[in-house]
Amino acid sequence: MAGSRTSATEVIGRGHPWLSLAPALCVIAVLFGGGLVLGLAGSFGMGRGGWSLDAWAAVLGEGRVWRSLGLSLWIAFASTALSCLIGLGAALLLRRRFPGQGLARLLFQINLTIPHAVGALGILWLLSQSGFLARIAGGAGLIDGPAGFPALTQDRHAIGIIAHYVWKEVPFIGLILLANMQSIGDDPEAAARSLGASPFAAMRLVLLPLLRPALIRAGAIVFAFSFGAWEVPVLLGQSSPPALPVLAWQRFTDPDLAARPEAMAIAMLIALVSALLIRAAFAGRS
Amino acid sequence: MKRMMTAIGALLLAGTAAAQEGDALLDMGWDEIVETARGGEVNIFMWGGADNINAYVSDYIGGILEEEYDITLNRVPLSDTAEAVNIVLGEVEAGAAEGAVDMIWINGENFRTMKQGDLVWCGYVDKLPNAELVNFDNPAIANDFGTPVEGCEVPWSRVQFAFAHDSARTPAPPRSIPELIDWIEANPGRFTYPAPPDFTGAAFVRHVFTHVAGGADALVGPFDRETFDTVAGETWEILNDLEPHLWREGRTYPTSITQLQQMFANREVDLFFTYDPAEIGTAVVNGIFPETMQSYGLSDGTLANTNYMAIPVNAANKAAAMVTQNLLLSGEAQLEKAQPEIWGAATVIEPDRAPDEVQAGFAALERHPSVVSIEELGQAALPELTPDWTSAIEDGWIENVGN
Amino acid sequence: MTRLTLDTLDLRHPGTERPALDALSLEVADGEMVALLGPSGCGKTTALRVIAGLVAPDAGEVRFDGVSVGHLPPERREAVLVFQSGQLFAHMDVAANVGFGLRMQRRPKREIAERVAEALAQVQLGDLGHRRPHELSGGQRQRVALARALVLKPGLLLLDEPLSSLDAHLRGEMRALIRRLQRETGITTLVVTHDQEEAAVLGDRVALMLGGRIHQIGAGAALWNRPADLDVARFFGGCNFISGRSSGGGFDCALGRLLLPEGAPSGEGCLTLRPEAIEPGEGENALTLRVIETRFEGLLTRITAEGSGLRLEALMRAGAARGAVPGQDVRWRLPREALWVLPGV
Repeated sequence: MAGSRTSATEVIGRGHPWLSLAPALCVIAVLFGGGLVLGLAGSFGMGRGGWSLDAWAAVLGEGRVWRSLGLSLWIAFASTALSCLIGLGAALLLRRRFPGQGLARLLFQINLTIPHAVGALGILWLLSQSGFLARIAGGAGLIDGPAGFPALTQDRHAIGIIAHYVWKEVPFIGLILLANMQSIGDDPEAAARSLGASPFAAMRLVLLPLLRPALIRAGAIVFAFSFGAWEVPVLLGQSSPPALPVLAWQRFTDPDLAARPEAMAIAMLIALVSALLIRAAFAGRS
Repeated sequence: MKRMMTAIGALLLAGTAAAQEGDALLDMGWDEIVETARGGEVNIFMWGGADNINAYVSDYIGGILEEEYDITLNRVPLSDTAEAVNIVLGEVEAGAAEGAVDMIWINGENFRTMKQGDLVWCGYVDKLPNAELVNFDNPAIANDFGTPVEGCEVPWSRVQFAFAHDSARTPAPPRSIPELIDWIEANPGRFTYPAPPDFTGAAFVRHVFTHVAGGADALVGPFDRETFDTVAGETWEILNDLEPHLWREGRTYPTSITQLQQMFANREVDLFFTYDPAEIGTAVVNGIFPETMQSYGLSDGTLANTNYMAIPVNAANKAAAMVTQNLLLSGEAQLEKAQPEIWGAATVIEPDRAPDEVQAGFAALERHPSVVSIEELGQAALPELTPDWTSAIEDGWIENVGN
Repeated sequence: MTRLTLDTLDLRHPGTERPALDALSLEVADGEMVALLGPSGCGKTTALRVIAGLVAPDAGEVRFDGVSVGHLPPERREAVLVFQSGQLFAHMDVAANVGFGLRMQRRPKREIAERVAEALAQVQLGDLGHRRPHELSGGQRQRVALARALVLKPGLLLLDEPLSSLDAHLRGEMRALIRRLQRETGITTLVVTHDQEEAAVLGDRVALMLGGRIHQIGAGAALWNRPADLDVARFFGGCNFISGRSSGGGFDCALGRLLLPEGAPSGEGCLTLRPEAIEPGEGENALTLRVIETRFEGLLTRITAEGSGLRLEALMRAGAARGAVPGQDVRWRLPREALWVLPGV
């Protein structure tokens, strides 16, 4: 009896890590993997009277899909690059000790709690042609009417969407980097300074490489989100081409049942492109 | 393991039971159906974008159901009716006989999808006592966007497309499609429409399409490729020629009717339109639109349609859903819904078949001054096209104009 | 090379009660190696950072060869600080780490390669240039850090606890290496340590730092045997303090008159002697004491004995301690050379 109890402890305590992870992995497999598998199966026409590649052929052969993919890539790349750049800058500023630092950090992270849809409406209220800035410009006599204000929302270059993502993700990147800097400490840079590096060189040659893994991870999250999310481009995007997730959603809610496999194929395309690009980013690290 | 198998077996049995219950209901009398429904619940999936409609269903209808039948009404808000169709579709594909959706507010393409996919429960409508108040011989009720209803859904409200303007800002708005085209060219940047597949935007495009076709009569009946190609070619040409005079020179379009509403309220555009003119009154009351707002029909007619309530074939609470539908059709509920401060939705029943006090109520209805009267609109009503036409027009617009 | 002067440095970290540096003054001669010894928290690492320019003092001056460097940022000071943890740059290989400083000076690539190879050979790591820091042992990492500093031929080398992260058997080896390299290069070196033995072996002189200032500086043996004050004596393990008066080569106290070594200060003061200096038996300065307690401490036994109301502690080898039994009297000799007087205490 005692013997069997010992062996049980050994299994739990020293057993294979996969064994102890099994419960969590099961949940992930069912929720995440299950959705992916069903989506993939749906894109091959499962449940629509047999398997076929029609949906994929239709999607990949459609110019609109490629234009949407291009737009979504532009949104994701621009949002990620700007968020990383500004987030890094903010983190570098905020890590210094200065009076009111605590308040500054609090203000900096406050919009982490604001939902994306609310933020997007805020951008609309601020930047649209009848928004706050346009009204100020109108009041100052700079423009005659709404049409005189530059189109910053529902615009061709997705400026409104990118502005929203940058606004929302800069604190995310910044906080991750701040936490990272805290664990790295000042010593690596101090060592570089003592060896003759200027403050800028110490930052560029020592701190940044140390931050890079965290920056790539955080950037990958921002990229995946801004590439695959639907609510912000729906609110701030132009009508054509729509961002890829919006196109998937339009197909999914098309009353014509034949469009469902296409919606699934587009969704899978989003997941695939996202996964490949993020993989490439991680691979490029080493 | 054994217990799990038993549980799954019980679920399967329960599912079969639900389907059998549906058939059994058709053999019951109304009183028996009401008794079956008593104490249960009903899950209504419906577009949830208007607070007044939500309140009417949850509070007024839900209150009566609770009080008189002990039925709990759960309203599940949707942003797009297709979401509910997708749920039913997924359940039926997975073989779940006891679905989560008991009733859907529906019409048009979504109904056709459900009917074609055998996703909707049929043949029960004449069981509802209040169905007698409805004139099912009226083609506008017997056909849902050209799809025969055939006892698979019950009508709820009628709506007719209307335009709207601020009489203080735009005293003389265009009152026909040709006038509108001239007006757009004379007022560059002051008009736009939501890009299809937005429902209202697609309806606007159908108005232009119908105008080009020379009237609704040319488009009645099944889809005709030849007619479509001829009419569509000219329609896209007109709409593309208009683009330089639209908001943002037509480079982009609003993506929803809500966005167009905001743009009108923010004075970015001067004309608004809606498939639910009662909404204009609500928006004025809520201060979104000015008091000087006025809605109106077109001399060459605007599209009209009926919306319905359907019960999915795998609904778990069919008896409760039937009781709910019967209540929705009652003279009192239809009158309440027609009150401008409640919703202002046009009724689908024949008031003269209803009790006297209901008739009197309809006679005494006061419209919001900004809302065009049903009678005035009804003088020039265009029947909706069948889904084959509407989806061909939507796809064609996206292909030829929206890009 | 460089002569280092610290002139009354004051530094108080915000929010702390005690100053980290309290009028700290120190002079390190050209080519000298001074060990800055002190318990943790005494301010010795802070002092190194101030010298390196990483922290600014509240008051006082740091001078290299008599010239103040207060206005110079770390990268423009002739001093290189080697961190306790080595602080190798994990994303660079060993050669790039060692060549980092030369790269900052924009030296030609070839010169860098040559000097890096030379520096690595100096620390006996000639063939590890392509390794990454995480592929090295603790001792190897510390040697790379040393090479990274030496390759710059700095005027002043600052070593912060260079041996504390190493295993005991590696310490001796590393200690010898540091000592040898310092002799060979003649670089003025300040090495911070909390270990008395390390300080004694490495430093030409040892500076004992307590509470943010230097209490005594001199050869290791001098601090050990001739402490300047009570704190110094206590730091080195002193435990016998007898108050009395020194005059004419003798010390009058409760135990009677004890003979002092030559050069002992006169006047009121406190007599101190290290516990291990006490010997059993007769002779000069012999006393009779009653044993109170004996405590076994491995190689040595700690014996507490009392006489004339005073307590003395002695550390003796097992053989010498055998005669001490609690409750019985013993004869202890206090060798004259082991006595020291702390005046005015």
